[in-house]
Amino acid sequence: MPDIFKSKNSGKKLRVALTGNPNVGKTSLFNALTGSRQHVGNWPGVTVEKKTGTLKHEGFEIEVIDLPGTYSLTAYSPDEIVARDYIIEEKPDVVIQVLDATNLERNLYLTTQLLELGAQVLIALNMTDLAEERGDSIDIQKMEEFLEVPVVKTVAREEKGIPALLDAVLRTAGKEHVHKIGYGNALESKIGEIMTLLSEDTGLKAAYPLRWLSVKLLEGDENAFGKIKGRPVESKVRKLLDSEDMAFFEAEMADQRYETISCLTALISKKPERVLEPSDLIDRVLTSKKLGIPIFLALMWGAFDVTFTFGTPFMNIIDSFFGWLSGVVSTNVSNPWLSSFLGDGIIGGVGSVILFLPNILLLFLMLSILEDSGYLARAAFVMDRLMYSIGLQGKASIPMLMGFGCTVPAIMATRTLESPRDRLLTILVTPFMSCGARMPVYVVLAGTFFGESAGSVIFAIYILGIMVAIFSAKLLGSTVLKGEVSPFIMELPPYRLPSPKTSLLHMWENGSMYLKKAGTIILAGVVLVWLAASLPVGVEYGSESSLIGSLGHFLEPLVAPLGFDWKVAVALVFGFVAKEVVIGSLGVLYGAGEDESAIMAGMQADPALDPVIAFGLMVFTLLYVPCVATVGVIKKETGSWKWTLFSAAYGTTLAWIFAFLIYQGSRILGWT
Amino acid sequence: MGSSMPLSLLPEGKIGRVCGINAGKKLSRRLFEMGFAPDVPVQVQRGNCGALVVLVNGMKYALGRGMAFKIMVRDSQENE
Amino acid sequence: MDIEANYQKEKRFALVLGSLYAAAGLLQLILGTGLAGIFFYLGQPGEVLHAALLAFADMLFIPADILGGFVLLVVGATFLSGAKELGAGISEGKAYVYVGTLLALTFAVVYLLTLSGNALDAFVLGGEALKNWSFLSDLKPGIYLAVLALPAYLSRKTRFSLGKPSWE
Repeated sequence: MPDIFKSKNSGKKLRVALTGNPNVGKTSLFNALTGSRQHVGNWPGVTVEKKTGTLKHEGFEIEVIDLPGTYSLTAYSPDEIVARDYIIEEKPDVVIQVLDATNLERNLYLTTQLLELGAQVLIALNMTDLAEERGDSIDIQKMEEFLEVPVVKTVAREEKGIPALLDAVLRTAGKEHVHKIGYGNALESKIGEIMTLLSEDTGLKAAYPLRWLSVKLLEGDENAFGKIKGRPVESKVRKLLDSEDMAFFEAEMADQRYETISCLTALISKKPERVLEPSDLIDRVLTSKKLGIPIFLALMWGAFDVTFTFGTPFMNIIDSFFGWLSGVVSTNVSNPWLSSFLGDGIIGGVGSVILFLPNILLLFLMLSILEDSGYLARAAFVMDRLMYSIGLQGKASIPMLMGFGCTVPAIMATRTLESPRDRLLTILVTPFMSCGARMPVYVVLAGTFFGESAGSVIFAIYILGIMVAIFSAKLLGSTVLKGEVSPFIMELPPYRLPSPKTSLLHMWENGSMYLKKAGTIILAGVVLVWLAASLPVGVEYGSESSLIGSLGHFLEPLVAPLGFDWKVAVALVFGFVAKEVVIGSLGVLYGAGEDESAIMAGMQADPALDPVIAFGLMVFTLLYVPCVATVGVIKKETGSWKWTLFSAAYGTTLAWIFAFLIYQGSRILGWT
Repeated sequence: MGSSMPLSLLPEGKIGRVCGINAGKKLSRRLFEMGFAPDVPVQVQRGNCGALVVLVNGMKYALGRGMAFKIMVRDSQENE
Repeated sequence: MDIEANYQKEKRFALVLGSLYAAAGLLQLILGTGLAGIFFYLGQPGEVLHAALLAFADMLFIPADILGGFVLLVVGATFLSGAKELGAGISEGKAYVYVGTLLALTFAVVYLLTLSGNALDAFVLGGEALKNWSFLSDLKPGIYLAVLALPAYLSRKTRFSLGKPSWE
């Protein structure tokens, strides 16, 4: 490319916002546009994910902002407010609306609202392949004429139509085009009156499209009233509107919009009669009364089976890598302090966390596949009856299931629950679903003390976790979080073959969070454990006279009624860093390091441990305060220290009571 | 033209027409935007003791039992 | 092809696969829960029966596996529900047969992933573990029964391609 051409547009920047209804392929389009050049963050002040990415086209540097998927731009949910405020306040050069070609009517509602906002809209007519296969035909030219915006056909899943879309972005940017929806004479004169009032305020005039604001005020939109709050025009507008029948206006305007849309759809698309589609046939089976739940359970089992067995070889590779690394350190670093710090502390500690990365990534991959195929939404429906009986709604089953993998993303997944009460309740019970990190603790303890029946004992622990979650949901739901299960509605998208790229990206987004956790919180925690085990200077690593030993002896009276000695107390304290550290700490305390069989031998020889105490310890590990990363995410998602502390205290109290009953009960019955 | 009833009572496979929504302003509007507009045909594909799978406007939704009680429909005679 | 003949063919297919999956699932469950032990209460002939059952299971690579047995039963039940509906003249019964086929293939993929995971693990660990592992040790009914379902899936793909409804 000649230099002159390259420099013509270089340095020019454009901002493009992506919007659209949920399940229209917006994420696929975003991935197709930006590939791996993505940044995931949060919109300020709300827990709504913000994704941005950049790309270059014809010398332009284009920043793409993925707005949350919404059905409309009213102010019903944080998602809608975020999307709307971004378009009004940040004024992106182009707003691309991703439209599902198989479902024009519903999607066009958002289009009318975008146009009303005065945004420079460009339509990406997505999933045109599915629409055509179905026999729908859409007249793009008529659509462009009617809406007065460019329309580009895309198949985002297969990355088709992307260059044409980008060309259209360059053509659309910088245009000034105001589009009106006619609301009929009566409404139009009202809109005019409000606009006249608003235009007196020059500040408002500069900040918002006045016609849009007038329409919203006439509709009684609270968020719009917030925008004129405290301004001199507020009382005038309110006075004008008070004399009117607001409900009538609202209904009338919505009717007008729908009429515009049905007029348009009739004009541009020919749809064959809706017949039973493959998705409907599949739903007949997957949501059936008899087979729905068994199929759900079978699929879950399959997902977990792949996660754990397929991950094992990779875990072994990582394990031997860290083993080799610590060997290299211990032979090459002569300073005993430094060698111990690097070997026992950093490598041993971080290694024990990275070890679970294959499992975590596979689990997220399985969940992504289930979600992208459309099944996860059905799972919520299938589970609704069961969940309702424990005081939660069907959607809550998704985070609870994810909890079997890792509690951190599970708690983040509660964002799909709209009602704050349902969401909080789900957050409080999800930690009882035994996460993957607790598994190694059970494996070692059950393997040591229960021999042949270890598998059944571990299974019993998982069941106990589910029972405690159910019990807690009922208890908390009828006391501190009293209230009705909120009505829920969710879209069931058609089944689709998940695209590997989307599923892998999805997996990576969640998995990288786990890595970040390993790199920050856990590293800090591990250093702390190591310091406590090595100080004061000169003590034997992890012995009774070290800081860790003193801590254990200090805490021993608290856990003595449960049959735990100081070593267990220490292990539990450090389990707060990450639950798998319980075993790592016991390894240190029994002088066995990372070697599992040595830990087992050490524990078996210790008279302070027996099968009952080991079982109590497993139950305690299951129920007590979740790891620090989980506590952190609970704080972030609930936004309240009160509930965070409640969650930690509730779990720990339950753990203590259960372990107490197990230990003392067996003494009384004379089992030990 | 049949009498009105909550959507949750509409038998599986039957088609009803939306005649009202007993909910607050926000929820009513949301349902409206999702396609539950007056006189729009709604088909119950699957009833599950309260929770439903319905077809509206070519879209498929799962509704919880609470939600299904808020949407009032008229039994319409047409059947596909 | 004649619609009626096709219908009957589909019904027979669902019936055969459904029975095979259900039988294999039931056997895995019986072996997994140790229920086969009741044969010992029948005295001498019971012991012979028990030995025969074990030998039979061994020959067909049927493991003692409760959860795996449950999964096969679910697949079998899906096929059989299809056969039942088709038998009663409900043409939507073919949905059950189709989903049954998808489930059969999905779980075959799950088992194949497990198998390759175990193989890889044996290879990584080497030595003793590698000697103990063989392809046959991970061969399960869930894998070889799915071979019967595969042609049905492939032949149907064109007819069902509308919404690309497949999620292996």
